[in-house]
Amino acid sequence: MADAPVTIRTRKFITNRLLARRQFVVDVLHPSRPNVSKAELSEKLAAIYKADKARVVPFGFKTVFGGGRSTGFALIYDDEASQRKFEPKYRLIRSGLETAPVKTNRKLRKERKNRAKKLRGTKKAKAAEPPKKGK
Amino acid sequence: MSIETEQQSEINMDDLAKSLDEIRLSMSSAREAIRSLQEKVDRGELDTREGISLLSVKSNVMLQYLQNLVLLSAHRALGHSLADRTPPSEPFIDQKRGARGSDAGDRVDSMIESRLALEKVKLMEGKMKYQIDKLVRAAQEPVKSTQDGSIDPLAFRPNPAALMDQESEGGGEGSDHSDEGTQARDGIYRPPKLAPMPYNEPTRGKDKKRRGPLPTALSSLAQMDLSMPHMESTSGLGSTPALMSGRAKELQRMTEFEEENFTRLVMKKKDAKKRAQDEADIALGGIGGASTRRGRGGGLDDEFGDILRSVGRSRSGVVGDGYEELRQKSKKASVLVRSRERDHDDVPEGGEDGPRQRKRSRFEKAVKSSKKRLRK
Repeated sequence: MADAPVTIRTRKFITNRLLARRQFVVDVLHPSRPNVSKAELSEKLAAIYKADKARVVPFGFKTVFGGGRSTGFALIYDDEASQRKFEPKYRLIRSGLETAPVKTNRKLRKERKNRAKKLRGTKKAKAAEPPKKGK
Repeated sequence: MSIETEQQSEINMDDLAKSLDEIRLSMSSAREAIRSLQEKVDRGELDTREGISLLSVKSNVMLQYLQNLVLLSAHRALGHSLADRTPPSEPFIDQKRGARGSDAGDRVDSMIESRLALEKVKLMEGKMKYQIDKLVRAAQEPVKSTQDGSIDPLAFRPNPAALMDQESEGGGEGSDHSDEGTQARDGIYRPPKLAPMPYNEPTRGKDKKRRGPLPTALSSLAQMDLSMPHMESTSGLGSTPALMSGRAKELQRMTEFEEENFTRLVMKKKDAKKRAQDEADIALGGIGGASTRRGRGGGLDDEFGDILRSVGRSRSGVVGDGYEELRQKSKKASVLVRSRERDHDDVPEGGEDGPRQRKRSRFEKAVKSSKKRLRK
């Protein structure tokens, strides 16, 4: 529901020159709304701090008991290079600057490993296929 | 042979004659003594107001019994029947009653009387046993020179001064030396005289009763530093909510850390759940003891307990889709369950804080309202 008003307050504002960013704690007041999405928050924060909305990284939001208020953190980077340099990988994936690695089948990998445990040397390459049934 | 028996019988005869003479002499002298005593009693010289003491009564009655027994056996040896008796005319209670006769039946009556008297004396002796024993003990012990007359062994009242005397001597009631000295001759074991104490069962760990919740005033006092300036309002509540329990302080410290360091704490799922529960509890005014409590804590239960109880919550949780749950709800409960929930008309609900879970409440309300409308 975009019509309900949302109030954003920031606390503990710090300009972190070492990591080329501005970081602060965000208090979002959203009565009659379950909570506010991170995308919407980054837009609002970019409007307040006159930055690019791609540079705003909100994370760690928790709604207090009873609803109406959420508390979390947000970072605003100066430029994309420093963001790629200093942000952890999962947040880069969240914001879209990186792609997630291909999800391998975990079960297949483990089965292959267990089959390879039984063999030695070049025969390990043969263990890539499962044994044919019936033979 | 016959000469020896004759000599023996002669000797016996001589002995018999001598003993008979002795008996006659002693009997005459005894008669004289008794006559003089009787005259004394008749003249009133001897003080007989208090009667005979209990201890001498016992021996005298016993002697009387034995005399009667001997005379009775003599009567029976002569062949007199036991039915002959010459009782005195006055009744038994009369003090001026004369003596009985000397027939066999009279002897039997006297024996019965003596026997009864002996039994009664025995009972009375039992009641006075302590005093008699004390007297006997005092007589048996060597005479202790008493410095002050307060410690009189014959006194029957409890004497607190005697306790101090015992302590100064260095031996308590349970000490071996004094006990052995006085009571070793008896050979009877006397246990130490200890005051009786009530037996309190030791409290077991699981039976310990839980104490009530700490009052707010005390818990806030424990944490506030009263030397610092603190704010108070007219309602007495203050502006900042005081942290009641240690858990509340811990949670506040957690949130402060998170905000200070720009991270969220990494916790296990269980801990995260407990933290959320405790925060909910504290927000509603409880103390946040999720670790010690099963289910909902004080805050949530206090606020919403009656509501949450009145809503029907099935034990099995979510049953398939919503339709399945509805179908299960529409089924009748067992007879036992229905009987438990039926008594709203008969039994007044005094002890509960709200309506219990009832099956047909809405239907009943609809029925009532429709009846009212029909009456109008």
